[in-house]
Amino acid sequence: MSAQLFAGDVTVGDTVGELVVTPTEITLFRFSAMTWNPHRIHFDTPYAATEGYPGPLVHAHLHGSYLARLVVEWAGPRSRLTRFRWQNRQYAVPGDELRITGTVTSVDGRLVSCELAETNQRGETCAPGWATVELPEKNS
Amino acid sequence: MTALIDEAYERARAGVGKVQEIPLGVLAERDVQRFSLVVGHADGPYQDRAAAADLGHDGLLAAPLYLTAVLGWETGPAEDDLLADGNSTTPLGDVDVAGLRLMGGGQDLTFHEPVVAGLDVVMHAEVTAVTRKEGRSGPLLVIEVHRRYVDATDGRLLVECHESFLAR
Repeated sequence: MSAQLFAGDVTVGDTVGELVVTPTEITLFRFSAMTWNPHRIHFDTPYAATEGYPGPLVHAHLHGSYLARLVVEWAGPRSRLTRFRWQNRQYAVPGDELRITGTVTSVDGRLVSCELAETNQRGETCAPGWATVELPEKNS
Repeated sequence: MTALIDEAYERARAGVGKVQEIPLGVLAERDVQRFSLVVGHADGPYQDRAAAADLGHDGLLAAPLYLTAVLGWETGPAEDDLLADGNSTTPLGDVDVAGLRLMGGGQDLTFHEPVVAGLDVVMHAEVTAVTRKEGRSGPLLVIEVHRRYVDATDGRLLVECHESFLAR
């Protein structure tokens, strides 16, 4: 479990930790199964090749899940994610090293907003994201 | 290809503004746990009831994207009724996309209440806009969907999601 941040603990420009994940074909298979997603692009390498990809594609919502995970782990279990958005920019395949990072962009009382990015080992942005979390008061 | 996109555009536009109410049922603890595990929430309130209760939750906490990442909450079509690429012919409920392939473009989520295992959830889904565009590899549709997830027992709004899909 991650540590707990409190209101007043962060300032604009702080980094939002770092998360590095390397999804495998098993990761993609299990994500497809859990989300009841039968699209072959996510588990069938020969099929993915017919669409010009070097391997099955990491799901859009898995990219989003990694971005959201960084924020909630950084903020701590008593914080509350209130807003989160992300976009898909660049595909990823099993074996790609995905680095998720973020920076605090605004602090308004207990509400902290962050800009996030998931990049691959070539430095390409696969998915940018934005999140707002509500931190607890220290004495709450 | 252009004719197919044009046909899909007209069909999808006919579904704009219609709200579909889809009961998701009671969120099963094991499903909530498994999704969390796949995305990396391997402990704490996502996996341990006592940890969730310590935070005031009545059940295991769902990962933020759990509700909005699951594509199908019902049994779904038989395999023979899927497209050759595995996709459903009706990935957006009864909105007709004429067999086009959909790709998720991103989501914009607002979290109103914690989502925990044991909640009985209903989803209200509406296609809010369909736009025809010229992409680098030809014409495509951008389909905007708004979903509201509410507690079936008291109508509390849990999560709102605006999602865009690219259809080719």
